[in-house]
Amino acid sequence: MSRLYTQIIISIIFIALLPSCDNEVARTSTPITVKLGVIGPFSGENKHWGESGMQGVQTAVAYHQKRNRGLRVEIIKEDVRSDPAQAEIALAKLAIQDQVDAVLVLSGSKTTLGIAETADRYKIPIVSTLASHPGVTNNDWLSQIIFDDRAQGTVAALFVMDELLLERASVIWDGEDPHSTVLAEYFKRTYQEAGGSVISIDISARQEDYNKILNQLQKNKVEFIYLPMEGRHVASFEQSVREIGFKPQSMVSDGVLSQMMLEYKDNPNLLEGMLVTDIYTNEVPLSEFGKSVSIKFKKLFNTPATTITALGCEGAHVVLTALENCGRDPQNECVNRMIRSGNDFEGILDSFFIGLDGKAQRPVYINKIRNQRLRFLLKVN
Amino acid sequence: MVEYVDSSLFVYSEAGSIYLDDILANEHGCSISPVSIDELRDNSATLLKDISHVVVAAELSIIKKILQYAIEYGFSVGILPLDSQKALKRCYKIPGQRQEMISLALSAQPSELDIVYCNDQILLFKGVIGWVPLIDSQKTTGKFKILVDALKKMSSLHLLPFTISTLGKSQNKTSTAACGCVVLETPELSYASSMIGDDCSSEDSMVSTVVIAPFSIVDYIKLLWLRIFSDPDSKKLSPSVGYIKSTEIIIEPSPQLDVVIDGERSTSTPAHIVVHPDAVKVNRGSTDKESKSKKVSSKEKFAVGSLPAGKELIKARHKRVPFFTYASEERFKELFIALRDDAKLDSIYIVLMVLSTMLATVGLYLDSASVIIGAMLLAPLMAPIISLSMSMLRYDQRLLKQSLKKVLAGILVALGVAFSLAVLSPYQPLTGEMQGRLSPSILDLIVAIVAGVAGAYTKSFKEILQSLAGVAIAVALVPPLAVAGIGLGRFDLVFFSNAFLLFATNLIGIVLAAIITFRVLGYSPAVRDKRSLSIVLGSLLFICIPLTVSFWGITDQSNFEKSWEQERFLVNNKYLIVNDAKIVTYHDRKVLMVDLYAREPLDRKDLNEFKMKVKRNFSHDSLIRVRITYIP
Repeated sequence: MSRLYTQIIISIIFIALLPSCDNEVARTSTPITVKLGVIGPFSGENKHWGESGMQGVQTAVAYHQKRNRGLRVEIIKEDVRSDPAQAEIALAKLAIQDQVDAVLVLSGSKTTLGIAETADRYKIPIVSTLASHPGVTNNDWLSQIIFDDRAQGTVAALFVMDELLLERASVIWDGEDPHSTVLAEYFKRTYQEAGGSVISIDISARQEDYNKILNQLQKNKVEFIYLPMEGRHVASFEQSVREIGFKPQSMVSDGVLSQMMLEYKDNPNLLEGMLVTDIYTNEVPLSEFGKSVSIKFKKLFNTPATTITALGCEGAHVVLTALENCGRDPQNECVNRMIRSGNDFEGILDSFFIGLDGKAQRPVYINKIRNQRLRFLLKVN
Repeated sequence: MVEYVDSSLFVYSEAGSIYLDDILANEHGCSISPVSIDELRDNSATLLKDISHVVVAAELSIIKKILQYAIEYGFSVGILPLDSQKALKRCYKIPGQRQEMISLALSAQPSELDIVYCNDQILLFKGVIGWVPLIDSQKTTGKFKILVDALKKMSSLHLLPFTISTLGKSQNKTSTAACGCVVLETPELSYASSMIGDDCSSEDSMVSTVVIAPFSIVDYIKLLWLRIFSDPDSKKLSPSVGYIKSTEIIIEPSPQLDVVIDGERSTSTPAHIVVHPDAVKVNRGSTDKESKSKKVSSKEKFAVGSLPAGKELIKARHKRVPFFTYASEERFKELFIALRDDAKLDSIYIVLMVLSTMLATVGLYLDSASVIIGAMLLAPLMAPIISLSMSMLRYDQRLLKQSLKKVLAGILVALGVAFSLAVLSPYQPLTGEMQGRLSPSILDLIVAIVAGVAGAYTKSFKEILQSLAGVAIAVALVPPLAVAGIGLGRFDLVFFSNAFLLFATNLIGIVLAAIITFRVLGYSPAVRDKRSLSIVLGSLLFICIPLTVSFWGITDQSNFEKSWEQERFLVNNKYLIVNDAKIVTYHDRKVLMVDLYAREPLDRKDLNEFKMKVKRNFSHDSLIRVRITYIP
């Protein structure tokens, strides 16, 4: 009788464990070794972007290796500073010499556009984490995981017009930065179409004379200033604002808070009170994936995570998921197809997908900066 | 003009010898013959023969002996108290200065005082039988000390059977249960004495007994509260306390207890306490205050109404007192008469139910909260439900049957009226007031519980306006019943069952809360039957399952709807602002109703894109309906 009981109990335990064993078997039964090329600014003025993004990449790799014990990831880093020409050379090296399975680009739009021009030549799946310029995906192989600048600029304009109900705005942009140019263009166009008036100022032509610019805006009774520029320009602008004392509501674009946190550690509250369109917010609960990688990140690094880190992590997650789904010997076409499949990828906050055009469809968060945190206001789906 | 005795015997113990020199040299010309107590013991007959006055300075037991001799030989007594004999000084109003003490002791104007015997032993001030928490402490005891002492003793609180008889002019006898009692002959500084207004004196030919019998821990806490916060001189007899005053009292607890007389364990029960009026002449001082105060009454008293009696004694015999108070029906006769009247089914009740349901149904159709409130004011449901609760608490089968019949009749009338109106009405709207009663949750149970507490509480205290609680109960009952009736009239069982679940939730919640409230207020029967409470608790647990599920559903829905306040959509470059989002049930399907603001007109392509985004971003399986307001 007792033997029968023992058999029954063993059977129950076996049945109970069956699904979990099955998953483990499925994960560990596809050992793959992947070569992942990472292009980014690991030196120079934007080296923080590269370093911070790389931490995200390493976190995602650790996450995938925990899920799939057979996964080996060889990372080949290419430092291109912020030079589009160097980025192009680095891509050629990774594709021909190193024969990587996929490339992650941790640079901004300006550098990534250099890669975009030659992406089709090497037929390697490339994922850009920070570049949001629409031109980045004008090819078949480079995909974005961040939202498109056109969407970001449009959202910013309509938010100001329809929710803040401000009808006199100014956009101050950097004509030498393609990311800034597109944001400014779409903001201005959308805002004017909605009935607002915009004073558009290209700082590359005005040699950053912000005091003069602000005096002009004050005279014109501008109610809102859109600042789609890199962090250093925003910092200079904000210092002038404080000098003059004219402070209308202003808004910056994605990633600027991260740049400030990394580059202006001695003056972290420079952006206090500003609105910001971003890919994330600090006040929405993390997804299950977000929670897992957050724990992993804390174990690996003793630094605060930034938007750039999170995007690096999501980018590597997209690439590794696609590689895993393509089996033991992943073909480039398969990986690229998987990336652009339109299927959902888990993100830190929300899931998102990349369409056939290589553009990510994901929400834009509108936040307010308070104590170096992104306080959630709205989510634009 | 004070006169003094010519001669006196001075009896002293070793401690009392301190007065020897002073009394011998007294200024009143009184001749003093000193004699030690040992000499007196050996030679009392010779020494006390023909003596007219004795002054004594000794321990209390010796003073009592002298008083005994005084009764026997007829001499008067002067007392010189020792430093430690504060009670004696207070009792006989002996002045503080030694010369004044001696003058009083040698005075030739003694008062005739009663002597109380307890089992043939003299009781001068106080006797204690059993355990007398709270009342035996001094009036001046600190509040914190009282609290700490009381809490320490709380766990060992128990009552013992006591039989107390008086054999004075009126002869009474009561069988009760008590912790103990205090026998008082003279006013003292204790709380027991102040509770009876110091209604005791050695000149009133009576002896007083204060009996303490907290029925429960709750009663004990009440007594503690009064002890700490009420005025010690309020002269109010606290609840759980009885007061007996007579010339002769017999106290017989079971089992036998020690009797502590004037601080000394002297005898044991049964205690036969008898007063010998004007038995002894003692030199007693007086104060201005005393002369102004009224004379202590010599009327016999037998106030034992707040002590356990009848069936309550069964419970009182338990090892420990229960937490909540209990009572026999006799104790709250008036309330029970009222409850029995409330449980009787009559035509007025039926008419009021018909009218209130009609009003509630019309209010629900009109989506008018004010009309529904009017219906609540009319609803007569409170009374039978409160009677039902009391009958369940006390397991009074007759009251249970009557009240249940009345409640059921009310339910049937309400359902019938609402059903008829729904069938007759060609207009079948689903108003907000109806919808609000189709998703019962645990929160509704909370409303019902509060209403139940209010109902039972107001019923227990005449001075509170009962209709207020009646409305609270009606809030929870009549409209859901009307909605359930409308559901029946529409032959929609989901509609009916959801509303009826709300009604059942409220009914059970009210009954349970009322039962608990009555219990806390001390209406539990002395002999409790747990069956009815188990039925209510079982029903409550059973009903909690769908309610909890519903509650989580509502919470999820509410969170989802709230989160939509911060959702926006960019659909084909058209910015859509979500003004409001709600999930409603329509023909058993969940429908997400979204209220949008948009600048540009939305075409079918835009709406498909919007729908796709909603489906993709929100894992809510529901139909989508959009209402658009355009921004110019």
